[in-house]
Amino acid sequence: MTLHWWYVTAAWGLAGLGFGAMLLLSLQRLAAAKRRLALLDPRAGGRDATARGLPAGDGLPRAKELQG
Amino acid sequence: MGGRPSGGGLHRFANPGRFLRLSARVSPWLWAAAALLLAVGVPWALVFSPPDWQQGETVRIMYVHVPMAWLSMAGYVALAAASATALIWRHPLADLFAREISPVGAAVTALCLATGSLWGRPMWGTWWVWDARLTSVLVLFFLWVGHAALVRAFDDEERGARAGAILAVIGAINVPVVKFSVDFFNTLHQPASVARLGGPSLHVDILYPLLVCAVGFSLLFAALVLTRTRAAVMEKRIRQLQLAQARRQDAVAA
Repeated sequence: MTLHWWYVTAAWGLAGLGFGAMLLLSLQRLAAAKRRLALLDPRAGGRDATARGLPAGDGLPRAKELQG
Repeated sequence: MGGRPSGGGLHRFANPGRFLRLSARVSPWLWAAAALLLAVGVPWALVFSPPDWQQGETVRIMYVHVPMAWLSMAGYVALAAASATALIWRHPLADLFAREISPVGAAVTALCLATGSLWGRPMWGTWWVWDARLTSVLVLFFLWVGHAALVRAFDDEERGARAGAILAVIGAINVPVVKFSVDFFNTLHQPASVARLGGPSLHVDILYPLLVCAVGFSLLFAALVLTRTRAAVMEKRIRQLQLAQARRQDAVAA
């Protein structure tokens, strides 16, 4: 392997590591958010939320909407 | 922003529930398109494209360095546009988007600087020079990092978002400086060879894999930012639910 190939490997390796780390962290974060939300708000529908004293019509999703 | 945003125009997309439903449909396609293009582009760049007659194999760094450079600038334009939208129309998703794009933007700008340095050492004989292009990209990196830090530095999220939006909009002045630094100043960095008047100066054997890699990395960038924004919307909902739960428990205890 020539010296030039070392520089190429280092550049692509850095990019691979950087994007790989971001990918892993983003997917883990999304999965954790989905899990926590499903635990906190297992029932879907704004009427349920209102009945439990949550702000109605806040435009935020219910658990059922997040499963996609 | 109080209550549900009024319908029509930009505010049609301000509804986080609608955003999540739409992004859940778009996201898998984005990931798949990015994976497909990079699965084609990376081997093309590393194996099948020819070495440069002057630079030899080192030219293969270009296929990752140039997309990172384009993304660092295009991403910043998106950040500035989202920040302006948040400042003018108080768009709630624009704030979240700006908060989530800045760490990814900082990472691609860092990769642009690092890969440029790794390319500069064998070609120029130095890792770094304080010329206009390199210095303006370093300033761009500090703007990305500064935005990411500033929006997270306040206890009051709205104040943080507002301060970050102002920084992002003012910092947008650096983007044309980066772009035209090679034309206006005498720099060691080569002038533009793709996005220039008169068309690209690269041979198609180099241009095509470069474009495939650029589009692939752009889609990956978009998929990452979309995923982070989706997670941020859900985390906001979780905080609201936890707050409501705590209030209920306080009311029962009282």
